[in-house]
Amino acid sequence: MNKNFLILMFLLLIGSSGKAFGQMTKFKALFLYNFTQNVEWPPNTISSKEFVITVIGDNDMANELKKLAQVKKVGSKTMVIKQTSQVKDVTNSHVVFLSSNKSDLMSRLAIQQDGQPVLLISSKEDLCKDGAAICFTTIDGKLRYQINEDNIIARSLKVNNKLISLGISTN
Amino acid sequence: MKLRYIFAMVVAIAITMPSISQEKKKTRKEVLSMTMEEMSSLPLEELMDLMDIVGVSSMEELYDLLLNKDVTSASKKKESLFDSPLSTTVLSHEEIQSSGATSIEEALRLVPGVIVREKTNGNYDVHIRGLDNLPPKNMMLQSENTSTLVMINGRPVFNYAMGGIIWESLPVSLGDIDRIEVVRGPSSALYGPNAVSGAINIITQTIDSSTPLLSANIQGGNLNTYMGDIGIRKQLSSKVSIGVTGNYEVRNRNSDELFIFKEGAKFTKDEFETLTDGNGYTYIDPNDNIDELFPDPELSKEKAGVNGYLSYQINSDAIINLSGGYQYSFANTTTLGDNATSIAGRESKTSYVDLNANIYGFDVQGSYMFGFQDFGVGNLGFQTDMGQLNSNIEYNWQLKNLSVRPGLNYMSVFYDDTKHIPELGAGFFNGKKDMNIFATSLRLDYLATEKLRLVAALRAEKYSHSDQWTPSWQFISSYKINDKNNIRAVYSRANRSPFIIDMHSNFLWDREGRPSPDYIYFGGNENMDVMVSDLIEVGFRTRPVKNILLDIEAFYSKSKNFTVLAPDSTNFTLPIAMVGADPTILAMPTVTAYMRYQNIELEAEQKGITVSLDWVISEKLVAKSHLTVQQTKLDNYKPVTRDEIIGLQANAIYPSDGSNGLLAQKIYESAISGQIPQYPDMTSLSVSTDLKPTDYENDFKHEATPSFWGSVGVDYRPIDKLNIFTNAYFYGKQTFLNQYDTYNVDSKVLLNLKANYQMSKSLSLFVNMRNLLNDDKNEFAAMDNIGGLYLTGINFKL
Repeated sequence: MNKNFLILMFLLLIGSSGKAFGQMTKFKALFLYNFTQNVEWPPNTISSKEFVITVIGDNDMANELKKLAQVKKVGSKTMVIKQTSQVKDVTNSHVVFLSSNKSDLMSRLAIQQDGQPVLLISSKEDLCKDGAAICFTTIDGKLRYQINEDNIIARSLKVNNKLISLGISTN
Repeated sequence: MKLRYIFAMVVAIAITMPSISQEKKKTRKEVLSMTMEEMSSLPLEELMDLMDIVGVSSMEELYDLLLNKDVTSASKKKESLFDSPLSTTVLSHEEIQSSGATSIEEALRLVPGVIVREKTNGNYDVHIRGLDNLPPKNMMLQSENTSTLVMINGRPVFNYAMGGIIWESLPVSLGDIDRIEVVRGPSSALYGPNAVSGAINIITQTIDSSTPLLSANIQGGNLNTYMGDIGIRKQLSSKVSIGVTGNYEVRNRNSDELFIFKEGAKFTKDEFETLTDGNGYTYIDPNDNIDELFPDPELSKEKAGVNGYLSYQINSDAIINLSGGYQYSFANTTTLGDNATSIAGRESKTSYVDLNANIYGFDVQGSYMFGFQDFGVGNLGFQTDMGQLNSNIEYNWQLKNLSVRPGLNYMSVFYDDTKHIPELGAGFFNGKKDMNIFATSLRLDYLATEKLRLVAALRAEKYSHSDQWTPSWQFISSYKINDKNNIRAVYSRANRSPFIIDMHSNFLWDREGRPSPDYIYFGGNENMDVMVSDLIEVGFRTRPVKNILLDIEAFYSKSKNFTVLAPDSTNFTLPIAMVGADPTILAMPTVTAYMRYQNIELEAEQKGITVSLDWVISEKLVAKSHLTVQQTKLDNYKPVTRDEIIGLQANAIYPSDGSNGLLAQKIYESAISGQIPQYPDMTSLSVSTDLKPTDYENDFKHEATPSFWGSVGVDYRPIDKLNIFTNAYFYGKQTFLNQYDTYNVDSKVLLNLKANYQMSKSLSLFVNMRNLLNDDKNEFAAMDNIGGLYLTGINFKL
């Protein structure tokens, strides 16, 4: 009886609303999709039919993006979500998303993708100095993003002013 | 009529507008029920609004706050704590506030591997992994932590006069701090001398658009304990921010009594003034004034500080941070001198200015600290003016997967007691004494593969008094097995700088009215080897599931070249003449003991393991715990005190059993060689010996550091407005040996609790109970039985 009571108390104690759980990843995926609407890739690069997003080291993010890919396209292109755990496996991508767990690999990713028209996005903040174009961050419990226009332009991508003005510029 | 109509319209619009706008704004529930497709069709600005409604105050935010922290001190660049190649801990401002820690030292109880023991209310001994009180059977000064480098924003705040950290003299308080980063293990290759057992970097807040304009934290409770800090911070533009902070703290001891070493008991100030030993000598030096030594023996600590911060972001590649401040502090805590009491006062009045810039890959720092420090209030000779200049330049050069970081460092420190002594010879330094250190460093950080990281950090110090370069190093390899598991191995060496008193001590203590010897001379020594420590460490960091972070570190270190003030020789000088055929001593001999700073053969070997676990159980409950188990053994240990060595030497000159010693031999030789004149003429005969005990002990179990210590705590948030943090800090028993006695200190569990209620967005009220079970066992040898501290206070942010 006492044991059951204690278990009940413990469950009450640690009871989580759970409703907000997973929202961060979902919104990051939505943000990422929105970024693609505000960035222009050079014509005839990579693939003419597919828009390739590679996710490094984050299964949850890849799953959220796959849900999006079922209902959305980027322009006329079908979204294809690739997953990998290693930078060396990244090929022919329009966007690469690097998980927080892999943040130490951002400079390596930037070097490996040198000269490629790819939008490098990191889940962790402050990685623009290592070559990221956009870095997610949270400020006062709100999801925001840092953006580095130089890193975007250097990869022959065009970015509209709205995306820059809504983000935190690191230029 | 028209006006009335327009007024009515305006009022109607004003009343209905909010409800219209509220209708437009979605609720959190509505947002959560939206489909992916619906949200993906929204423009970015609306999507951001929806995210703001949902907020990220979820498990993910806790993960980020607690398990995905960043650290800069381990590699001198920002990196994920999980990827840190060294044993590293970051304590955030929020964690410290939530814990109820009342000082920086107490907050360090939350850090794995750090042993923190309270000496008097608010004054602490802090050691990383222990290795304290070496060599044993010495002065209390040897128990000070001289092997951890404490910095504020990379600026060393170390006591280069005598070694150690004058914690109460730090100008900042918890309100200034953004985070405290602790690196365990020898880190001289990164930060220079004295980062032997590790480095503690206190990093103050950066000011941005989200920083409150006004913040304040005030609390008060029993033992006349009151503390508060206030800060005004403002980002003036996207490039410029400023801030001014102030702090004040006062605490009483739980008693006004003083522990007298040779009595092994506590006495009031009045009792101490007249207390005598078995030979009728007073314990207090007849040259000292009791009221100057202990103007307020009940006062434990009083400190105040003001700090100013200015930051100028020139562009994305260049930022300049300027800070400056002033502090005053007084503490009654363990004596740094050779007193009869375990407690003595110390006082500091210092200022600082610190310029820190990151410009196009160059990290440049220049700081100057200056003022007055009194290491023994009321004790002539301990008062000194000081100045400390630190300058540092490093450049971060990224070559594909190789990061190269060369650096140059120059430090100059002086202590000058000229103004505080009546005549040269009355002080410890007797003039302005300085030490300059030039250093060059190189750190190579190579990401060999996506999983394997190799780091080599090398540094060489050139001390001004030595022709030799002193090297230190770190060789690290870390292997990220996968995203959840990271293993690392470290081999490192660090050194401890000489201190001004070690090199330049020059003091003759006239002991008139005190037991023999008549004089004790304290002499410095510039020719000592610096103390070094070598470490081998293996660490494993794992995140088996998303909400748990487990860190295990096993370490083995060997330290040698300890320095100590120890008897060099003892001298008997006496007037003698031939009276007839007999050599006759005409007066009692004058006995002088010559003490000199010197290296000793002692070696300390430590092995241990630290485990820490952070567990985000739910949005409402977070558990944090750590445990360190260690063992320290000494080789080449001479278990003798200063007095025992002087006694041995005195006995060799003039044996107490009446047998012939060196004095009798010298008198005989002088007499037969005709060197002693006939009375009434006389001569002065001088006999010295540097005889030392030759017995060493090996494998001596050193128990000044407990064999285990740690903390278990939970942070519970039953409702959004209420936060309850409770933890138990515990340690095992210790055995402390000083020159007077052996002190057994019991194990202890300190239960702490802070409950914070958020009244509004800007105001919270809290109760804060430290050692709430009021366990008053002393935590440090010969120091106070403090008991519980019960506080209540407010936190304000605008």
